Amino acid sequence: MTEVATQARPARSLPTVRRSGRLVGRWLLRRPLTLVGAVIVLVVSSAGLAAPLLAPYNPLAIDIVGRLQPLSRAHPFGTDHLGRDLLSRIIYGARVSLGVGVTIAALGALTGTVLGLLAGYLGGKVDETIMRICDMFLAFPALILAMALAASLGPSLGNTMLALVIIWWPWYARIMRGQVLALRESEYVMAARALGASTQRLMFRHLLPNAIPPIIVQATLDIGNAILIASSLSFLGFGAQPPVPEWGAITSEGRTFLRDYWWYPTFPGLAIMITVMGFNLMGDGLRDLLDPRLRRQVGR
Amino acid sequence: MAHFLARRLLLQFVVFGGVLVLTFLISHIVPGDPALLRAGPKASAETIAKIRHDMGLDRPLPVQLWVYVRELLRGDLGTSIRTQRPVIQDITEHFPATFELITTSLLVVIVVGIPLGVLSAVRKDRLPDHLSRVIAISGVSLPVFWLGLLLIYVFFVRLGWLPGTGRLDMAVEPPPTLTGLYVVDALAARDWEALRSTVRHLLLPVFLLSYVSLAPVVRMVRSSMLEVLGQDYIRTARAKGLPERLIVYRHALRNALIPTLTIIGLSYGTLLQGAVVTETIFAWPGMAYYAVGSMTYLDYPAVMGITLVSAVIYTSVNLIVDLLYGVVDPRIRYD
Repeated sequence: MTEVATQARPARSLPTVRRSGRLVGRWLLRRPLTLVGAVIVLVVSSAGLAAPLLAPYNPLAIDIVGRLQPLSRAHPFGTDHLGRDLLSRIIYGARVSLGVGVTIAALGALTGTVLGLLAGYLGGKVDETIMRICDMFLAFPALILAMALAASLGPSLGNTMLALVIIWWPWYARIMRGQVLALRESEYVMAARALGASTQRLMFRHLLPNAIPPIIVQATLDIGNAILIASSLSFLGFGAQPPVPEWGAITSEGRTFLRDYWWYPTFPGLAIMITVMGFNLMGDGLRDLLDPRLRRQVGR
Repeated sequence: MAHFLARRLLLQFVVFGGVLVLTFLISHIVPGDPALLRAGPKASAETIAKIRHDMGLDRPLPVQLWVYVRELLRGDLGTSIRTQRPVIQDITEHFPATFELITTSLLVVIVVGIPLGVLSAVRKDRLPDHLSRVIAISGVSLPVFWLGLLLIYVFFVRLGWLPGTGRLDMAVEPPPTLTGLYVVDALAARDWEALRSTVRHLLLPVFLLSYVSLAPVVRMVRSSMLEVLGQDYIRTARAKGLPERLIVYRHALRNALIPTLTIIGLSYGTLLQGAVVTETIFAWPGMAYYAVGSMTYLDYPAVMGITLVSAVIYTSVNLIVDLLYGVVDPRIRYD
């Protein structure tokens, strides 16, 4: 009997995997925007990972003679005020920005989800404490707190990331709590409670799966957001410092040259926009895919 | 309700205390020495020590905090190291500019965002939906500083249609101060020239700020509308033969507004944050502009003052959102 079961399992699950793979494929084809987002994320991630192979020049190599060159075959995006190849700097920038974005979103979402769930479900003192801590952090416009932290700790990319994780989790906690508050009163939760489900089971088996889709969507979108904020900080001079090829820092360096050398601040900004848009499109699609209530309607 | 309000206000003060301590700690882990900054590069060690003593920087941290709180209760936020003026005076002067910018942008976000989200949900996967999603997603993906630079480049440098920086043209006298909000003041004084100038100066920053803040609202309205529209009571309403408009706006939107409220509340923070970059790019003389300068200078009394004021604003918005939950969703009770 046991033997049959172990043999039967792979035979059963393989087509299931293939079928769900095909379903996702078909679903993606019906949603071109999500597909575009996924492709952008894939391309930018690969570019970041393979930067040393792809970049035509060393992103830090200075060539004063060849400064501020317009677009050419040798320099498709031109060169900056120190003659560095902008394409190479932007390709290496993908590595910097993606690392920053993923780290901040992942750590922020993890912390916020757990605390939000506890606050929403347990209520009372736990709720008050967690939410007041949330309010404390949310009381600061994120960028101002991050600026204050970064300026105090000394401007650097590491300190910027630390500051952003610290200020990011309460957003997730609030969303999670809001979800749980609404779900807690719903009939299926009351039914489960009436059947004697334990607190733990209610929280993690009944509430979490139903409350999590907005968190996953938010986390995907927040990789983009984190890239945006980190680049804003670098633009303002509180984040990555020269000569780190960070997109916001490159835009900031190119700012004064905009009038006569338009390509200099334009391309790094474009790189930020395209990357962030990729994550946003993907996140938007993910929501529809992950939400079973919406999935039912897809065929409609 | 009154009980809830009283408790919530009490908690507001607790949060405020936490914010105070947090800000204080942040501004006192500064590796740079404010006394050194004030004394200048040529000062002798004695002068620096004297300044440090005068500023109270040689006292233990808890004592410094206590002194700060005591002064705060008297309405004194200390003296800015950079401007040598009372911080409260600096903030009072810079606040209206930021308030005018953010509030105008928030209004634009609400007025444009909610209908766009509803339209997107009702016409799901059709042209209006795709369009509104492209608008929203491009807005949230744009780096504020980059779009700001491009706007100035196109509309000010190239076309010369709109002013690039500041709140008023150089030649225009500010309207007599009533609220500090130039639009309101100009209207009150019937100063049409100032009104025209200030509105023209508002256009680009408000467009920038509301465009980049629009997406979360549109997205949230759309997704919660989709969720609500799929529910049984909507089908019941349709079966009863109610007009679609009534179903969408009376039955669905009201229930879709709860998560939207959270997002609008949080939008205020997003806007304040966007204001930092917007004010820097447009040299808009607001609080955020002042903040960037103060932080670059490690002007900690100013930094603390700004943080505290933004904390008051933000926690008040949170409170309003919490109260509104009960208004739009009677299922949520406050006992």
